[in-house]
Amino acid sequence: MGNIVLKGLSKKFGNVIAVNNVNTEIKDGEIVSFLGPSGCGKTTTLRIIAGLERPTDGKVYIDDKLVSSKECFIPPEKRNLGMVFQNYAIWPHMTVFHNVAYPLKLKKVSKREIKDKVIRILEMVGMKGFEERYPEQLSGGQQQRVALARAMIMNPIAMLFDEPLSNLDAKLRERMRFEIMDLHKKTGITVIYVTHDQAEAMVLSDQIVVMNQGSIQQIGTAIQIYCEPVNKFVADFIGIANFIECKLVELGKDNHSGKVQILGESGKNPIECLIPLSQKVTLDQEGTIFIRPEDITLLPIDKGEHVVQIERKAFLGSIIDYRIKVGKKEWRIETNPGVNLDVGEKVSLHVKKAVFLTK
Amino acid sequence: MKINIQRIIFILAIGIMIILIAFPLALLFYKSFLKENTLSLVNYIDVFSEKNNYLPFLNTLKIGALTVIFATAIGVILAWLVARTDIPFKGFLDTLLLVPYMIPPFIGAIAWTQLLSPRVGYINKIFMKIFDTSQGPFNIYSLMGIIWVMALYNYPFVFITVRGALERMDPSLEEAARISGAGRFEVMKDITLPLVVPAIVSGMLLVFVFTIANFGIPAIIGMRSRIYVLTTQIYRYLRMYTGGFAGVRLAAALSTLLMCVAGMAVFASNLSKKKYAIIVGKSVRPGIIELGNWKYLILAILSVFILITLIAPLASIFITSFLKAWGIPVKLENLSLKNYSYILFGYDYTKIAIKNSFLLAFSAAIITTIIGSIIAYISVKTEIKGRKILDFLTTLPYSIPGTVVAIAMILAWSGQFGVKLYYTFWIILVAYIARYMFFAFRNVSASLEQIHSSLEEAARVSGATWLQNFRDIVIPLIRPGLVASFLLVFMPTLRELTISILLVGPRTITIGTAVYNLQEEGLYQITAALSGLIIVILFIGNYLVRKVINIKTTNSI
Repeated sequence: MGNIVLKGLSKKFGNVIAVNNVNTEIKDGEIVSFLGPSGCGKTTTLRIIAGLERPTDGKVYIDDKLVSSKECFIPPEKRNLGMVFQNYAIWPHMTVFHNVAYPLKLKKVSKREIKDKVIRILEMVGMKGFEERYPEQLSGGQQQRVALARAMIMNPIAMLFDEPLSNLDAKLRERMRFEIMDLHKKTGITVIYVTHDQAEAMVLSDQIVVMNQGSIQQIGTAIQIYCEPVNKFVADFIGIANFIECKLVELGKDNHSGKVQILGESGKNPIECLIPLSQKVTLDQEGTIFIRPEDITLLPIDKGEHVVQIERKAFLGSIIDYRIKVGKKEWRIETNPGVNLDVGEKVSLHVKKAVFLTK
Repeated sequence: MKINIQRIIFILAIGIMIILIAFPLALLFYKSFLKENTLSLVNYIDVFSEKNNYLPFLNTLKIGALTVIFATAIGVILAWLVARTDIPFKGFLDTLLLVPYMIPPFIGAIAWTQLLSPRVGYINKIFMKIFDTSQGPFNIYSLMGIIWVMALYNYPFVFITVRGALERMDPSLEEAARISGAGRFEVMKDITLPLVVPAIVSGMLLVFVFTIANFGIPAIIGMRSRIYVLTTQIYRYLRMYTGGFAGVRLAAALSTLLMCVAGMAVFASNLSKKKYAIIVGKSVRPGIIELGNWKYLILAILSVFILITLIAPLASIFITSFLKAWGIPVKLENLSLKNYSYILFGYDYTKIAIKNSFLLAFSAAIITTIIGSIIAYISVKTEIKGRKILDFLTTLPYSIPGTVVAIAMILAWSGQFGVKLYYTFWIILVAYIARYMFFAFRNVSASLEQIHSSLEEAARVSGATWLQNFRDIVIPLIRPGLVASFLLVFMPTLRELTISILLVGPRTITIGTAVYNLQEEGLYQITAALSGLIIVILFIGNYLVRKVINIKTTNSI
């Protein structure tokens, strides 16, 4: 139990397509993040699952039961989900106790049982002793814990998080991430987590659903979407990437590696780079390769073939951020602080890994 | 240098406000305890021992309480419909429902006497024709009549505050309840309603204060059937003794009483100001409830409501203003613009009134905008100690009924202290400035608060002195606020009645008092023409204010 299936889900607001044919399955007990820039449709998808919006097209199944489609609509209060909102949505006219107790009160649970359960769950989120406080007396982090307790008190089928940490400061955000993970471990509940913060998605999730302009771009684990992005959007949105228009001029026998010629740079030596096996490429094919800044090594001039000059340099503590110019494009390279080169110095490039994105 | 100029201006401003406001009000309070130069409660005992006095007091409370109930019911329902349902023509409804806000209540009262006067009111006449009776079913000249008109012209205060709260409420508060298992009805009962209660209460107190302070409606509707309230009774005392001391003394005692009731309501509204943080910064779509087929029924009821409460009174005023004589049938050949040309060019009484009111409104608007801006600047942009006193002095007369302000002015400026302004143009102007300063102050403050201090600091760093900075940076940035504040003082002073009726002399008649006196004398079609003129001017003014405020928000700083 606890699985959620989205089939051909679409939502239009007037002429704007907010969600466009979304298909995915969230398995019981998984943490799945919906990741994407603002306006990509991730929050709308979540709200459709919650029953706060009705889809224009498609179906939502919760626990193998149809809850939303063109004909059928189960209202949010009958879906038994828990939801944590971006701005907490703690009711300002109720104490912490009453906020958390409200779902139970609606179900006509006895007063004693309500008290027991509320105290227990407040203890779990570390808010015991705050029962009589009003929300305005709590910090943002504390309000978020109350929201968490309120969402969990009914033992919902799944928990929905709508950018719950984006209003918190960086340190607290990091701590809350791990607390959410701990809670998930303890309860084993299905979690759908909407965020625009890739680090958050990568820390938390079993699966990440990357969305853009209403459509799913890629579904995969953190490693998959970082190392094997399927398109330019995913590559660009997750982490930093250098994109280079190029042509494949040499293909290794094992199809593991090849050499590319940067377009508009004929005459210069081609750059050798590794291309993952999953990519089917042919000789002379044109496309874009993308290279993560940490996948480029800078070597002395005589050790490599492609000689470039350091244009800019920034020391960032754990790494040094170099900029070089290849053709008309500026590349970004990150090295460990041990590699200390000066601006103007000439070096040669070695690309450890690249992904070839066919056009 | 900066400190010095600011300090001099501050001291000047405090001085002006003490002379204009603190001194007259303190004097009024003191005088109400004074009889034959000894301090006592005799005046109050006099006031309460006589039926002529305690009945108006009870009427005031009764009308205040019932008006609050009706206005709140109308205001809350309308606010909910506009803010939270998918009722069609929302923008249009929103504008229409705020129209009563622009119409002076005493003109509304006149319109309603034209509609519901027992024998000659238009609506009563329709009923008389249909049912063939000699008298219509409604009598405006009654306590219920006063309350009806009061409620119609005061519900916008509830409407505005509640609609604002409903629109700006964070929708996730209600959504969280839905997810928690609450149905639509439970969400409304447990979440929405409790969260807008503070807005409802502050709207109610506003209505109460305005109702008990209102003079025009009970004067035009109530006096004819001898229903007096505090404001009309004060007016009677002054008239009875034609400004003599006995009248002023009794009026002062009643005024203090009125001030206390209003003061308590204002105090209560400040207590209830504890507002929940339900408002979110980002723009949100509030949860809209679909009315389905009810939509058409509700729209029909609303249309009838608007037709009766808004269109009918306006139509009545304008039709009457085109009538060649009062009481003749409404036919095309009986209509003309004669009344308008008469009040504008033919009739000395109204010509003087129009000239006086324009002069008063223009002067009051200019002076309050200048002084109000200075006070606003001190309050918002400086750290001068004592600026809170200035705030308080500026806000005070707004919460005090106009009648009380007028009586205080009579006490202060009728020669006892070497300044004799009573029955002159100047006493009215001084009273207007004291009373309406708050409008200018509030508007300019709001504009100033939007100017980030770094803009001024940048000017100073670039080499501007404090005065140059004020002239070159601050003034241009708040110009829309200044224009709005001018208009927002100009409009209510142009049609002012409550204060001027107590202060006018034979040659200093104002439009408001002219309308009132002509109505009392039964020159209904001339009254209507003068009212029509005011309404047109006020509509234009309100349109300009909206435009100016729109400019302000699009070029927001």
